[in-house]
Amino acid sequence: MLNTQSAEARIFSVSELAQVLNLALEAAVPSAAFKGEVSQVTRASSGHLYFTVKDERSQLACVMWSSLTKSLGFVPTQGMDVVCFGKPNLYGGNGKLQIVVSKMLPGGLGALQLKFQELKRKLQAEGLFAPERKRPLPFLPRALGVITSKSGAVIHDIMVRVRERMPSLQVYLVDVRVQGQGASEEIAAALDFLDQQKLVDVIIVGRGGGSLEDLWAFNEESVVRAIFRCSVPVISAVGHETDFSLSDYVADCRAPTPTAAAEMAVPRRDELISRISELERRLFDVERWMGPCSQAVDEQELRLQQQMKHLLQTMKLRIDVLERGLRAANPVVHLSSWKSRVDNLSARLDYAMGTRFKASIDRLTGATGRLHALNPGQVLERGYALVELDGGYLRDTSGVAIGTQVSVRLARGRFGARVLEIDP
Amino acid sequence: MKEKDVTLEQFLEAKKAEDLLEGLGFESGLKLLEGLVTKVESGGLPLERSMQAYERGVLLTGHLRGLISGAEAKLKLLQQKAAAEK
Repeated sequence: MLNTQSAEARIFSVSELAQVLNLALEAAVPSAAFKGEVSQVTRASSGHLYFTVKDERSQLACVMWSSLTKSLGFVPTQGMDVVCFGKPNLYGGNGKLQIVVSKMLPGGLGALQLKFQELKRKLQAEGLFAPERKRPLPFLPRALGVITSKSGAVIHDIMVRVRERMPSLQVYLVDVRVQGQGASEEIAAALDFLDQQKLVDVIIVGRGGGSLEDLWAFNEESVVRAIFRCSVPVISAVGHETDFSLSDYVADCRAPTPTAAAEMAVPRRDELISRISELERRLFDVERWMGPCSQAVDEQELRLQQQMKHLLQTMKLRIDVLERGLRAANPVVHLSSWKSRVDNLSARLDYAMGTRFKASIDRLTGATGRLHALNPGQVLERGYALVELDGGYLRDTSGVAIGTQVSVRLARGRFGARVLEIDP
Repeated sequence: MKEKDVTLEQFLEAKKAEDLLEGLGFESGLKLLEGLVTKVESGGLPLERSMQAYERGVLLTGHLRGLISGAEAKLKLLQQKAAAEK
């Protein structure tokens, strides 16, 4: 800050001093709101508005830049009460103090507007309007809470939309006064009430259109703080599209109309159904997701077949080997060799036996021949005859007399004979 | 009312999936279903798991449809005791 010492320490040019004073002014009073009566309004060709605002004792020169005057919404005229917001400026060009006005409002509403701006600034500074703290709305709330007048259009409009979009949704209404004495207390209490009850996932608070005074309850600090501390997301639907209340700033969402609020709060049932159906379709499209699965199965099957084939070949080879081995060990094979061995042995045996017995057989043959020769039949064959008498054969003539009957046996046949002579 | 959070693994592993459905909100359920269908479509699951996932997916769609079914929009007027006390 400029102090006498440093001021004396150097010598400024006029422009420099003007600059220093300006900086000092801006630092001391960065902006101010003030009210007074307008006088001497002039609009320059540039579009800038020059006017004076005065009260009983003082006046201040004001300027409002052309671009800002466009948003005025009214024409400031001589004698009109206004509320202004602006910052001081020492215009070096003429050395005159002027207030550069950024906002101006007709005075009738001035007090309220002032209050509004003050409160807005205060609560914003506390961080109540911070975008970071705004909660997302639930995708599909299990129940919707509405804080408004039960006889107003708000609840009616909301119900129309709800019935249209999600007929199954449960809606809880807390009936409150939406303007006048005690309204803000009721609204704040309703918010706390719904919060405590834990019945709803989202709340719409609002009222229909009206003047700043009508809407004032929704600018009250008590309501704003109640919305802020509510643990459930709050949609603010206060007044018309162009009305902005402090509730709108603090709420998690601002809706220009109650209908819009319902649309924000409630998804369309038919959209959700089609999302489910789409997922169902994909799930039921079994062939499509089984496809890769069944392809994997096919591939496995193929691999398995090939493995089996390979295995079979290997086995077959082994079997061949075994078979050959088996055949080599086959008793039939052995049998024939056994047989030949036996034959061999038997032949040898025969030979051996034959040789051995030949001698005996020769002897036997000899003996048999001699035996044959001794056969009486054989004797008879040689011409000899057997003479039989009384059952015995005769060797001498004893016992025989002339005339004895004898039997004579020959080799073949016999005859009877009588003895004619005896020669002893 | 905080919605219950169920992971896809929990949902597929659980012995009784029905128990997990209770208290499962629409958005959580929808996300779960999307994850499930994507997983099944990816073909990464062995056949038995695919079939189980499929069955659970059907269970889930039933639950979700149930959440949004119903014909009448019910409006209930709540009495605010707090205001009276003030």
